Amino acid sequence: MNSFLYKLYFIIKDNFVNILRSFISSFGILFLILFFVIYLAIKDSVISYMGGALLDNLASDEIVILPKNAKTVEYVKRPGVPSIPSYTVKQVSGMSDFVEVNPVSRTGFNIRIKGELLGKSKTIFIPVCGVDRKFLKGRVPGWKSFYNRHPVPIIVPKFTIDIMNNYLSMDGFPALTEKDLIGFPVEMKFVTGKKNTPQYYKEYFYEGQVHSFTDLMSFTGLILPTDFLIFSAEQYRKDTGRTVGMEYVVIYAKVKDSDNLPSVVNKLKKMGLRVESQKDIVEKTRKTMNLVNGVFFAIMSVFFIVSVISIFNSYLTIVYIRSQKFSLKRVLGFSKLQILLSFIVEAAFIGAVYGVVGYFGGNWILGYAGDILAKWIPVFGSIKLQSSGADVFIMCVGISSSVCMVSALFPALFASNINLFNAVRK
Amino acid sequence: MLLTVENVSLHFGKRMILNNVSLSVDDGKIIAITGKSGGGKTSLLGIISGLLEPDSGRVLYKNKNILRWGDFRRSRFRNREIGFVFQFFNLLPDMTSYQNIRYPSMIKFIPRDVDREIRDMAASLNINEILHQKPMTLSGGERQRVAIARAIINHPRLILADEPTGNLDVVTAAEIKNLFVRLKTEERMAIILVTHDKSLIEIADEHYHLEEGRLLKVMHEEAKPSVKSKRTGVNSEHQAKKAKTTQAKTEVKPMTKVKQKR
Repeated sequence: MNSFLYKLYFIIKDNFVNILRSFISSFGILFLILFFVIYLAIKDSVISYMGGALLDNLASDEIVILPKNAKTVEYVKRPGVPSIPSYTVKQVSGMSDFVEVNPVSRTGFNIRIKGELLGKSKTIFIPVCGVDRKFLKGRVPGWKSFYNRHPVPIIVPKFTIDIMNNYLSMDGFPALTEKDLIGFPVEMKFVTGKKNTPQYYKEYFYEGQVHSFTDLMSFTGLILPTDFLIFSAEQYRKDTGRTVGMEYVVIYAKVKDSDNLPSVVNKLKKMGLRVESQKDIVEKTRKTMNLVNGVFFAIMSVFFIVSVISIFNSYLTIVYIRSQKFSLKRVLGFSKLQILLSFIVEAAFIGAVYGVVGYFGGNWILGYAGDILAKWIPVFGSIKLQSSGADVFIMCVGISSSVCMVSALFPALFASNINLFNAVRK
Repeated sequence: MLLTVENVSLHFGKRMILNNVSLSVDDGKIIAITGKSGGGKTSLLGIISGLLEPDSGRVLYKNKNILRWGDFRRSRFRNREIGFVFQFFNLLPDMTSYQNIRYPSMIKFIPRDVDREIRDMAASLNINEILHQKPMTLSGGERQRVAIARAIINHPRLILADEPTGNLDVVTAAEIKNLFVRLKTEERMAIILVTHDKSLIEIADEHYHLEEGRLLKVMHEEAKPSVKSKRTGVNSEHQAKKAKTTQAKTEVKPMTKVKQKR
C-alpha cells in the first residue's frame, strides 16, 4: 500500500478505533444543539412578530398615534372601543412637525366577503380598514391604482393569507399562494342596522379584486381605499339619513426632524393621544426578548452543564481505560501536544458531527412542529419557525465542537501527563 | 560515551528513590541493573528516557543534557534514539504484530521502506508467520520478539529493557537473551537491562545493584573471563552455558569506590 495512504489509514485507525464509545458518551451535546436551533428560530420569530408583524415596521422618524386608552389597534367597531375623532386627525394633519400623516380608518359596517373557487363558494366575516393610497407610496407595488374604483382594490395583509387558507382548506379548497390570489375576484357584502328596524337595515354589495399583499400592517382583515369606505358611508347616509360611523383607529406619521420627536410626542399626548415610536417598539421587543432569552438561557445552561459534565466524565473514563495506550504512545515518542491534539481532534470531530445532526434535526423538529401548530392555531401559520442558513449551520458546528473540545480538554491534559511508568507496567 | 548519568537524585515524597546515582553506557555494551522491587530501577529508566524529572543531576546523551530539552525534543529522542522493551510486552491489543512494529516509525517522519525493513526483521526474529496476528493470539515469547522488533524499528542506539524475561519461561527467556546479544554484537546497540534474571546478568558487560537509592557496581569474579572471551569472539551460547554453570561470587562496592579504584 502507498506509504502515505497507509499512514493516513493508520492515523485514522489509531485515533478513531474507539470513537464509537466517545460518540455514545457525547450524545448529550445533541440536545444542546437541537435546543439552540429551536431557540434561534423562536427568537427570530418573536423579534419578527414583535417588531414587524405585530407592531409594524417603523423607521426611526415614524410614529404610531393611537387613541389614549387603546392598547392595540382595534379594526372592528364595537361599543367602548376607543377611536380618534375626525377633528383630532385634522389637527394632527395640520401640524407642521410632520411630513406625512396617514390615518387608518374603520367602518361601522359589518363586512362579509364571498369568494368562489372550483365551483364552491365561501362567505366569511372579515374586519376591514381604510388607508389612503399616499400611505402606500413606495411601500406597495401599484399603489397608484389603489383608490375607489370598480372592482374595488383590496390589499391583503400577509398575516391574513394563512387564515384565509385555513378557512378554505376546511371546505376542501386547495391552499392559495400570493401569486394565485392576485386579481382574485370577491364579492363584498356591507351590512348595518338591525333587521327589526328595516328603515335603517341596509345591505350593499360591491365587487372587489385582490390588488396586492403587504406586511406593512398586520391584522387579520383586509385593507380597502379610505375613499371607498367614505363613499359607502355616504351612500348609507343618503339612503337612511343616518351615519354609519366612520372612525379613525390609528395614525401613522413621519416627523420632519427625528431629533424633535420628544417634543412632538409631548404635543400629541396633550391632545389626548398615545404615541408609539420605534424606540417604544424596540423597548417592547427588548423586554419580550429578555424574557424569551432568560427562559431559553436557563434551559440551555442546564443542557450545557449536563453536556459538559457527561462529556467530561466519559472522556475521563476513556482516559482511564486507554491510559496504558497513552502511556505507551508517550514512551514510543508521542509528545504531550500530540496526545492532547489526538484527544481534542477526536472531540472536535464528534462535536462537529453532532453539530450537523443537531442543525438538521432541529430544523426538522421546527418544520414538523410548525405544521402541527399552524393546523391547531391558524395565527401560527404566519410565523415562520426556521433557523436555517450558513451562519446558523456554522454556529451549530462551532458551538458543538467547542463544547466537546472544552469538555475533553481536562481529560486530555490528564492523559498527556499520565504517570507513564505506572501505566506501562500494568 | 553514548550515555552518562551524573549524580541523579529522586524523591517521591519523603522517600529517597535515587541517591546521587551515576552511570555510563557506551555503544555495544550491555549494562544490567538489579535491585529490590520498588527500589527505583524503573524510575532510573524513566529518567534516562526523559520521561521522569529527577530532583537533581544530569543525563548526558552524546554529551547533551536531555533534562534541559523540552517535551517535543525529548519525545523525538525517545522515538529515534531509544527502544523500550517491557516485562508485559505492552503491545497494542487492537493492532496486528505488523502494525505494532510499524507504530514508532509512524511518528518518525522519514521516508524509507519500512515495509521491507519489517519483513527482513521479521525473518531475522522468526516472527514472519505471525505478522498479521493480533497480540492476544501470540505466545509470550512471540509477543516479546514483536516488542523487540518494535523497539528496534527506528534503529535506536540505546535499548532500555525493563524485566524483559520476567514473564517468560526458561527456554523463551534464553531466546530473548540471545536476541539481546545479537543486538549488541551485530547492531552495536547499547542495552540497559533491568532484571532479576541471572542468565541475563551473565551477558552484561557491567552489573549494577540498586540498593536504598544508591547504585553499586557488582564485581563478578567468575564473569570477568567471559567478558574477555566475548571480545575474543567466543559465541554467546557458550557463554550462557558457562554462566549458568558457574556460581558467581559477587562483591558489592559503591560506584564512587569503583571509580576511585580505577
